[in-house]
Amino acid sequence: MATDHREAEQPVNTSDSDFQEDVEFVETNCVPGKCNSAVFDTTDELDDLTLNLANGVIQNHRGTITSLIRKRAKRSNTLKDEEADQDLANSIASEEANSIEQSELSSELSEDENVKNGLEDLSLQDTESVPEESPSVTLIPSSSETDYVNSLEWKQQKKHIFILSESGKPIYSRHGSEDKLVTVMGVMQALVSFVQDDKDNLRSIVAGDHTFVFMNRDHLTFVGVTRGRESTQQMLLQLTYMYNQVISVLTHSTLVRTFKQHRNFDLRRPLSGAEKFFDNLLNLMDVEPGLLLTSVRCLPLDSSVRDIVSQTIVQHAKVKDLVFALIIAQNQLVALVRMKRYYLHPMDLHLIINLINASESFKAAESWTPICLPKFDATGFLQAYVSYLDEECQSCLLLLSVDIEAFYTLSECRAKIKERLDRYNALTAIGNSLQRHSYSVQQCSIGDLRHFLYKARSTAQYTSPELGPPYNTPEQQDRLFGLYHFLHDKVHSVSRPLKLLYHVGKYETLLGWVTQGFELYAVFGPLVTKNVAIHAVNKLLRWIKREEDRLFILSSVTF
Amino acid sequence: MSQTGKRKADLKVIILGDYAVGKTSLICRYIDGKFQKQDSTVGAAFFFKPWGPYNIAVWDTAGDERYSGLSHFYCRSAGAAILAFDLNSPKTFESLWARFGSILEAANEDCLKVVVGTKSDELDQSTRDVSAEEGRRLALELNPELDQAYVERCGAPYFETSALKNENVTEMFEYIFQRCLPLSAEQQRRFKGKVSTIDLLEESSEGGGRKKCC
Ligand SMILES: Nc1nc2c(ncn2[C@@H]2O[C@H](COP(=O)(O)OP(=O)(O)OP(=O)(O)O)[C@@H](O)[C@H]2O)c(=O)[nH]1
Ligand SMILES: [Mg+2]
Repeated sequence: MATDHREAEQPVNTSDSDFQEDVEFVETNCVPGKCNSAVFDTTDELDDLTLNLANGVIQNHRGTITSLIRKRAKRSNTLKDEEADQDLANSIASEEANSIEQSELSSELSEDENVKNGLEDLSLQDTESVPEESPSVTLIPSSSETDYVNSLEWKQQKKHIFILSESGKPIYSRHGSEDKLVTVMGVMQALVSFVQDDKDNLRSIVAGDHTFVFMNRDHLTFVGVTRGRESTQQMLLQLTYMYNQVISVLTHSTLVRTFKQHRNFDLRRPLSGAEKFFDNLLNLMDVEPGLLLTSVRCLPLDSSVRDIVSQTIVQHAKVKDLVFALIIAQNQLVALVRMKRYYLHPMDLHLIINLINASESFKAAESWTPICLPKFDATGFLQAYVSYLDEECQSCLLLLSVDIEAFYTLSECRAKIKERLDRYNALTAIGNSLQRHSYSVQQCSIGDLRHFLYKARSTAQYTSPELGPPYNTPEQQDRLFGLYHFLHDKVHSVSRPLKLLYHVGKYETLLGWVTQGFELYAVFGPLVTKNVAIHAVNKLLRWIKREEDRLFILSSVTF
Repeated sequence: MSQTGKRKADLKVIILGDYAVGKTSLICRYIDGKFQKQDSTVGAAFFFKPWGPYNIAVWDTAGDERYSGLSHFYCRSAGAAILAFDLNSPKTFESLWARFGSILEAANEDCLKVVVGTKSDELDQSTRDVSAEEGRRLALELNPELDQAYVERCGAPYFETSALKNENVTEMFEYIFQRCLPLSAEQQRRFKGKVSTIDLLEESSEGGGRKKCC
């Protein structure tokens, strides 16, 4: 029951073998965007999801900030500084030791079975949140909520995301005010608890054309409901992003401490004002493949210009305690400089992009705000200095430090960086690249290729052409995105991962190809044969290879 | 966009208050000379403003509760703190004590606290909840070091403002600056006399601010 691909256009022909003759035909030694020195933290969240579904708490990178702060405290001997450091370090570290290490025993195989049984026992298949089917069964008590939940507008949303507390308190809903969803969320929590009573985890429910996906972390329940093409696994990834966004606002330590103190705590208070980050993140996930691919899109830029930008940052932001310095332009990475030994994870970068994407307020003045990067260190905050570099507010400079006092120093760095980048015309170059809108698929001059996503695995970066016809309407873009979800799911299938997938759909032919070095998802016109597609893809790889200096950041720059 | 150049501030002013009371609007009205839609502040925003021969730094903090932990940092060396509340919302007035009272303990002892009611353009005098007298009283309580004579001469550090209508905004800021960085008669003459030149450099508070607010 867990797998349900709902490939709307019935596959006419899907061959998904690692068939020998074709593998030989394919030139696997061409891996554009490959790089030996790590640019990003490239641990793949999808692997994580598969491996620690039950204990999803981020455990790898805790304490990084505390150790950086200690280092800083050692350096500066003035009493005042030490006090401040100690305060900060304490507040960050205090709960670290207490954090809950979930160890739920889940027998994964029996889960679906259990869910099914549980469902049948409760006869819950037909709650209001599952529209259209057997409207006769109603669990929800009559109240004004019922009207709302039954409204067509609410029911017809393509995707719902809910966050609720262990006690069933609503915290967030993508559509509609969570106040009106108390009962619905109560039912969801009842389902989750019911399965948990048997020392098991509820993972997904398929009801009609809707899939419900559940994820429990740190006293929070995340629920995703979709009738789109996302697989359970992909929905879990989206829920993980939502969880990371919660952590990013509160830190893992605070979250755990809060619920330890009051199991019934209303998390909406500390999260108030953060709704826009959740909303914006969900919107990003619907249009930005980088989140699905856990990889980063770089702004296409001559490598000489990019070098100037990163070298300017290295020279003029060489400040102690500065962990990451980056420039982002329209959701694309322009340059990244990092402290030696510390890496930025693409999931964290997406949260950073989301932060600046969701708020206009950074355009008005230099800003200074705490942000927790869960993959980097879920237990504490970094301080982010945020300021746009140009009048049009396109290129945004972010300097992330562990030192809360660093603002004025970083502000001076910004002034110097801006002055140099202006002098070298680098900001103009960035502006020009933004104006050119990446590149069109025609530039690759491969007939019948309509669109593609290419991810270089070793650098956790991806590239794709702009969306041209026929994908120039929101509906078509949505459909294309659905195709990518389908392809991505097939090649990453837990039970049967594929290396190569050739799929003929109603409107287009798809080719998915995963190797050690890359993931490629290509969309062709409908009449392309397998051989032609593979041939085209090889040509595409050579094209990307030629352009790789411009499309990817291939060398890692450190302070 | 911020000005580049030297960043030695002679006075640090911080503005505190619940979310959406109009802190950012107030500051942008003074610095950019106009009122426009503001997005809710994330963390804190830093503004810079010359005053005579001096440079003033203004920290505009976010009202959302989750940022409360950081307020003591902005307060630490503040010469003046603007405590903003929405004249139409008594809750935001109560917050000044409840939320920010303890935070202000981190400030300098001689930090001037100015209580500022916002959105006076929306206020209906006949139904108002927080009286001007209450506001004044809070302002005086918060500033025990202000002597009677000063208050009689310059007024209490309490203002009712409208960023929208541009009422009492400049007065409020000048009250702070005059108290914290008094210009001598000679300086006043010089800088007032230079106002027209400063205008040309577009550094005056009113009219054509040189930087847009977004
Ligand atoms: N009528 C009226 N509305 C105002 C005035 N000042 C601000 N507002 C409105 O109040 C709302 C909040 O204004 P902001 O300046 O963003 O409030 P803030 O205190 O900075 O809010 P946070 O940054 O979230 O803490 C906006 O919709 C403004 O348009 C005013 O003087 N009169
Ligand atoms: Mg504000």
